[in-house]
Amino acid sequence: MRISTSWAQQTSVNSMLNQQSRLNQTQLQMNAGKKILTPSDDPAAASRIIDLNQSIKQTEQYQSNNDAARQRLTLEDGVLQSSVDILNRIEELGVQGLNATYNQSDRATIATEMEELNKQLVGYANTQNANGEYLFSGFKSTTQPFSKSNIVAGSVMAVVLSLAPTGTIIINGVATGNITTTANSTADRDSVIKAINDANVPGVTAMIDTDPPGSGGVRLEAADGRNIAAQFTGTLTQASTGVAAATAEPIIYVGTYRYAGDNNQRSIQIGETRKITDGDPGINVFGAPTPTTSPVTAVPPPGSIANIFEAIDQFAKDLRTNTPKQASLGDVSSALGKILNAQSSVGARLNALDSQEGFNTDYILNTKTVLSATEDLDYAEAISRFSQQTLALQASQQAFAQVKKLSLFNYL
Amino acid sequence: MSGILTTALSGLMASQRSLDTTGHNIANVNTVGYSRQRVEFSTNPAQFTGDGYIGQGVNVASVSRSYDQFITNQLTSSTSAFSETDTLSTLASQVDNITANEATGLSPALKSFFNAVNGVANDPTSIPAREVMTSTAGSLTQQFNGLSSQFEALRKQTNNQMQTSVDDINSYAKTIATLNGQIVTGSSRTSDGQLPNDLLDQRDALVNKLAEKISVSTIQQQDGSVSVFIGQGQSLVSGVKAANLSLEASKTDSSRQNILIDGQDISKQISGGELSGALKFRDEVLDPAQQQLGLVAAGFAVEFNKLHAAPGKAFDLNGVQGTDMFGLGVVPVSVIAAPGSTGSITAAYDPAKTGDLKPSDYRLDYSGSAYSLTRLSDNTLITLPPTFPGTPASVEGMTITQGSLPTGTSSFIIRPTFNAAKNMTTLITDPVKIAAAGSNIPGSLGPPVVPPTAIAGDNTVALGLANLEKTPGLLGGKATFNGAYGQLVAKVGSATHSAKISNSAQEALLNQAKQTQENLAGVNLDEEAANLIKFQQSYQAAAKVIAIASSLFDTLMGAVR
Repeated sequence: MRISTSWAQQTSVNSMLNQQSRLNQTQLQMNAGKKILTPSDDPAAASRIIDLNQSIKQTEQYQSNNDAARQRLTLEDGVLQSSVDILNRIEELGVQGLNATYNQSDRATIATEMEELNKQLVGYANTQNANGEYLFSGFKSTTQPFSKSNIVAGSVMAVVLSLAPTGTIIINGVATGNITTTANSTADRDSVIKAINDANVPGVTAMIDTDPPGSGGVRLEAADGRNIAAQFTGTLTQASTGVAAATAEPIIYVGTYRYAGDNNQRSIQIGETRKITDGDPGINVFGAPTPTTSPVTAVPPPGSIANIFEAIDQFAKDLRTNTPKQASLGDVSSALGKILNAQSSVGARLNALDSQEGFNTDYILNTKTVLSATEDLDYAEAISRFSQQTLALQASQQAFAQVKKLSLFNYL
Repeated sequence: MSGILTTALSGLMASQRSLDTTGHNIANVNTVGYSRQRVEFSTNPAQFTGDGYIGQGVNVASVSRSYDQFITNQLTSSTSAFSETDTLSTLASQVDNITANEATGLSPALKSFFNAVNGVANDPTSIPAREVMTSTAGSLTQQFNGLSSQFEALRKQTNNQMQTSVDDINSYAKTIATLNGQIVTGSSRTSDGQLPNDLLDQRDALVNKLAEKISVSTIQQQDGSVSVFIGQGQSLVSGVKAANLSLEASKTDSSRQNILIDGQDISKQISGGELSGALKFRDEVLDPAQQQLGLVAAGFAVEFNKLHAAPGKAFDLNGVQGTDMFGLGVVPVSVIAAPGSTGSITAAYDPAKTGDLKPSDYRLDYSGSAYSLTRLSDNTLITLPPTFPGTPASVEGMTITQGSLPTGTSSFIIRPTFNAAKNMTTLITDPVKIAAAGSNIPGSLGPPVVPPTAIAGDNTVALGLANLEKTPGLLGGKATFNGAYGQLVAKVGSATHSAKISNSAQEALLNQAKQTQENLAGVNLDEEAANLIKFQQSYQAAAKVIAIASSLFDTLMGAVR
């Protein structure tokens, strides 16, 4: 067979180029440590790699969600433990105070300590986490959940003012003189304040509300910090339409403590299908304060006070007046029960976090193993391939050099 | 005595011609398309004498080239097939690299965005977490835009390549036509059909170059000229006339070039060569990739906004109703009327049916009495609800609305996904405006309107948004955003893979054809060296004969003297 000289050269060159390109591919693979350099090397594996990477990163994100939940639940657990310690002390004080041998001054001392401890407990209930979020206010995490209130909410009076009232306000059973105002007028607000103060309700003072600043409603404060009932009788007119408001309900406020949070619990995704709540609403832990809306209710008698702070305040007040009630101890121990329940629920959630974390770790490890098998280079195989290819290239180069020397022209 | 001189002279001449030709062969050893030439000898008619027929020496019958029409045709067709797959695989591997690259691919950006959304779900009140979410949203949008602009750049590059190919084809066709003229003249110069071998070689080489650009078929004419046909029998060169190929932008999409021959559209008939490789790349790799990317962008933006701006169900850190997080341009679904169409059509995404979106353009035709909708990716007729155009039609993840009825036959191109990645924007840069909460505290009754207040710790919407990552909401509820992007990578990857495989197969075939051709027509230097020796010797021998004749003559003269 005759061979064209230039083609013979070309084929040798082509073959060297091919060898070089294969060698280069192996070299790139070894540099990257990966079998698959571009999706076209193995399209099916490339798309599987995307899925696997996604899956790993997703689970890693769950792990960091898990850490966030753990940090908050651990904090809550600590707060609850401290609350339990305080309640134990209060229970102890209560038992002492109920001892018949104690006189009024002994009981007043106990009451003082009890009130201080209660303030501390309220402080715990208002704990904020590192982000400044309140632990126990549900979704309203920027709102302080519990506050001891001696205020009739300014906004409640603001409704009265905004609806152009004609009638009287009855406070703790004492009626004011007739109030006639137009809506939203500073002068009228002042006349309402004057009318209330003129009525001389024992221990109750009216003033301009500054909470929040600039709200400009009317605020009522009770000297003993308890039990104001305010009720409006008369007609309310919608300022914008001039029509009498259909639902002109009496405005009522009773109570010592307010819960400003809500009933919600925030969920955090800690696994593919697993969510966990990272806090508890304050009313589930510390009991709901006596309702502040209609119908009018007074704080219930000891033994059936749901809110722990109200119960302790009542207990302390009774001790001070030297009439402690045995039933108050029941309030304290039922409160303790509530907190312990919450604590065990937090513990259970922390356990769930642990088990989910273990599961996630295993999952990441398994997925990484599969990923490695799919995309990582088998170095032993690659190195032996590399040396084979080097050898082949060297052979081609030598053969080329040898053959090129052969020419009949050398002998002419 | 003069007989011996003439005979020796003819031998000298013949050897000289052969040495010339051998020299020519050696000189052209590296000339592409050169076919080695050979001097064909024949004996001169013998002289009849009483003693019988006395030979009269040698005569150069012709200079012929080693040539085989069949082998040449095979080389031409292999060249077309190879350069088509070569162009396709080169262009496709660019997309392949872009989509898989950690820096340019979508997956990492998508992942870090959803990590940030998770961060907001964990800490809905944290401004830093929200900052991270708005900034990763920005980089995700940039990633969509960037990928799309890389695709645009490839489209431009493809169009340029097509333009270059068309220019080359035109210039080759013109040269072939000119050569045709020269060859016809050259062959008719001699009565016994001597061929201008080098011109023939040049023409064959040009046809082969033409075959690199586009698949051609040739027919040899009686007069020595060759007719070249492209596509399905469209004549490119006929005798000394060459047709003109040109590109023209499509009327409904200016970025799309059609191929015309003397004004007639033959885009669909083109096969083989770089031109077809570029067309195939555009139609089978680039367009589907861009559509799929647009599908991910549109699906992502629509689904995200659906939750983030849900009326009465999503509120920002101020307690204000959430708004769209991502935008898709002023007119997200573009509708282009074909020239001569009347009436008006608008289209928009249907957030309730994002799963029905397909990575395709659509054509809405109006026959004069009824509408019909065609999905262009697979030419499927989509059934329009019977109430259309009275009420807007919800089909394929879009809502199509008739603005005004066309007065005659009309046609509209609807592009829900093609430009989505390019047009995507981030609308929210203020971290406070991220709607993570599912509830708020509305403003109080009556004036003064107290602004709504946030329930800052509520993360229900953020949780829902974070869950979008693993919700298979695209492609009929079968693919997540990342999954749909994975499909894009796999599609491009397998297109590139198969282009590479067929490229190496075609390369082997081409090399085989080249080898066959080279073995027949290529110059072998050893052979030429041997020929040199052979013809040198025959030249020397013929010269010796002249010397003998001379000495014979001297002998004779001496005898007479």
